[in-house]
Amino acid sequence: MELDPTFDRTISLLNSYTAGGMQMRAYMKKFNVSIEDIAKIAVNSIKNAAKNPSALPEAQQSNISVEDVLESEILSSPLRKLMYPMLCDGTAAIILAPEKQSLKITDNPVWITGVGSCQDTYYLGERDLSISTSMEIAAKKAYKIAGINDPKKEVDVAEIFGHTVCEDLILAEAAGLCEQGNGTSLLDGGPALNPSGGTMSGLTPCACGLTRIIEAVKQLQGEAQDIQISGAKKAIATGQVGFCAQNNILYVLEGGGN
Amino acid sequence: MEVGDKIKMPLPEYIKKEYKKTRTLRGMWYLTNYKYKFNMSRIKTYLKGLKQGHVLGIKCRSCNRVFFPPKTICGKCLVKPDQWVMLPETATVATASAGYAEDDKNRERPIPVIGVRQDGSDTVLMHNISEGVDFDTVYIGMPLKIVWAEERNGGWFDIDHYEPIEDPANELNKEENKK
Amino acid sequence: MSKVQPAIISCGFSEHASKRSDVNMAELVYEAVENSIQLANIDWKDIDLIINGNMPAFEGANMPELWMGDHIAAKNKPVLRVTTGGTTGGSVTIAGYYAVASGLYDTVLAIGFEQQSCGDTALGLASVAIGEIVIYPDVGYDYGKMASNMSAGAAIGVAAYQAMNYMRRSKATEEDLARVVVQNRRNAAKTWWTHLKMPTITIEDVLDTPYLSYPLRFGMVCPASDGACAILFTTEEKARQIADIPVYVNGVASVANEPAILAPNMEGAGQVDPCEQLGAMKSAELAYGQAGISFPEKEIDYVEVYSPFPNQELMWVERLGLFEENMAPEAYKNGLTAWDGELPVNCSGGVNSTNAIGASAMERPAEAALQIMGKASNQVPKTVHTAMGHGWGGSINLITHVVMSDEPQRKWR
Repeated sequence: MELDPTFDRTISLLNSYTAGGMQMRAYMKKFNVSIEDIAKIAVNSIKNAAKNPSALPEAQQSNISVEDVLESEILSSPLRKLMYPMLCDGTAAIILAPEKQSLKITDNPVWITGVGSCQDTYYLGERDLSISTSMEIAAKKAYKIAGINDPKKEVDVAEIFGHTVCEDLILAEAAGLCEQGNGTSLLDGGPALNPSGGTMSGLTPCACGLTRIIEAVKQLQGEAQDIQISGAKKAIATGQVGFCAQNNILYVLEGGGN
Repeated sequence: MEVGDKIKMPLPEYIKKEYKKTRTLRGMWYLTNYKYKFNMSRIKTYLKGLKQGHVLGIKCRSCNRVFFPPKTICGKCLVKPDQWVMLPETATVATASAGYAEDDKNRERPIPVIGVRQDGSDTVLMHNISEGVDFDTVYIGMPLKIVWAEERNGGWFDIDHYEPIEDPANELNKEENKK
Repeated sequence: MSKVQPAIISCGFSEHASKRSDVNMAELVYEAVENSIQLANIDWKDIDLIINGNMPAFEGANMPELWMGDHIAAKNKPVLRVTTGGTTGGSVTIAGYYAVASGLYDTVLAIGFEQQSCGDTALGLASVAIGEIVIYPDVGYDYGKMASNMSAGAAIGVAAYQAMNYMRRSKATEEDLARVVVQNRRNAAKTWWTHLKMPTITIEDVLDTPYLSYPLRFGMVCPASDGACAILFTTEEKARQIADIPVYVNGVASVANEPAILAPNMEGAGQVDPCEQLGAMKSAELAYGQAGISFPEKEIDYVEVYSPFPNQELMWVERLGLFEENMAPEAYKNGLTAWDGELPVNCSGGVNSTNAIGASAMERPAEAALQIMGKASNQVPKTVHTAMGHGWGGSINLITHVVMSDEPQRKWR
């Protein structure tokens, strides 16, 4: 129903599987990334989801391997089933308060220090699908307000809402967490990518952005238990809507850390 | 002619501008594919009560409002009402209106629909008044009584309709009782 | 309070009609956007945020601002969507106010639109209640009975019941209702973008039409229109540079109440008297308080209320503090609310003459703002310093208020 009613909806070739497939193909071709590398990120996210108590139980698989991902059903070449999140029911809620009130209510508030959002053009043919211009612009705005100059070093945790595992990488690169095309290097160092499992822990389309914020808040308050990244002080959480992440929003959150 | 059909109306003329037609395409929205969840806990007890001829309302412990038919959450208190109360069979008209259809002589025939407030409750339920009651005699505050269906089987219309009863205040309020 | 004083610099409209068969949704919105940008004489690249609103159920197209992004000047810009049913336009206006007041965005474009000829209005309205209606046959309430019971309210919702209660309270007659309709439709004839332009309509013409649902006649109800409206907000400093008379938005409020008559989940409706409107009175109090207005009947010069049906116009002007209880019919008879009266009401024709659901609640503050700027097509003769736009929707339980003036609200800074 989000499609343009005059053309795309009647032709019905475009849906989230095909869009994800086209995006993945563009990314793999431009930056010479192999499908095994993307599968490694998927394995990392699914294993994180298995340790996350709030994740969808059906999405939790702690014994997954790269082969399992590469042999799972093809949704739209080259996108595989285990690179795509599971849809589920869910709700998320947060309470916001200004500085004075929040310090009276809790000892451990998490501050929203920056926000930025941006919408790209609707037509996939007019965009370069291997990068995300809207996330780059949104991230620049948010970092400017938050005073972050080098996200690679200053951001500890990144909760990214991507519709596929490959989109997680594209958005992470656009948010400045690593060099473009080098998203798989996040497994070796730098900001922690989706310690909660990201969307692979269950996707409730309208609540997912808020869930990413909540997972980031848990990290900053030191309450993330098995998936806690130690010493997390700054985090980013993103949300999106539209095919191939047409509209992105990025929040910068800061907390006490522990 | 069915209720809801477009009655041909002599609408007063207005200044219209003609627009060229551009291309149109059909689209569909398959609402029947959707499955909605429904909480029947309160409604089941209510319908069981109707089958036995009891009029049950539910009360919010926080603000003491009584809801008839029952509600699952009180909007003012954010509390789930859980105290059932028995209500009398009398009610008053809280509001009323009429839809229209054409009768066999091509005149407008009003189909009255009334909003009923059961005595002792704080909410309004839409229902029907006895057939044959002239809509012009219906006024807000008019007292009513439940007329049960001949056979009650735990359905919504075990209360078949409401019939007007004598208003003891009628004599005193002759001037006031206009619509 | 807010650090930045938001101001309105221009309001644009598209032409409204029963069927805008010459444009699709995106092009319809573009008309209003182009109109507002031209009137403000700014470069569209300076717009920092676009807020879009409509009732998606009516066209059956979800998230229209995604695929009409290029038409609403949204390429590489942040975009928000606000949807609250009938009050969408009012909520979008309030969202525009908060966006500028927060200090994050300088220039904000707020858009409200609806193209009802695209879709199925009855299905759209049914989709609001579909989750509850489908259960009725399971408990013995079959569709035939439902159709006949809803017939009194189907086409026009709770307004018919509201009219009954109001007429009992105030002893208003059908003639009073027809008088309101005549005033609205004649005003609409002088405004360029409206739908039902009837310059020569009389009370007899209105009373000559058959009943739709007692006591409302066919000639009294609002049409279903296609149309769009766009308002440009900016900060106080920029407004002073761009506009001759910037319109400062000083008070906004919105309050929800329990639904009346049509309650979800087969339960009893919470509001027993639909014309009591405690929510509207509270919301007016909040908005006037923010704007520093203590005597609305004296301090407000012009009012646009959201009244698709004439009984609502009489009711709102009382509930919003502009006339004493039950005194509105007298005021209309004595011409106090006419174009040249002491407190003009709905000189653009109001919702009674044009109703594009997503846009109507925004067109009320938009026309009020134009009156302050001196640029309305049906400009009233008196100088308008303070004006108010109002919106409602839902099962008569969602209200929005916007109070504007040509002086910024310095009290709270």
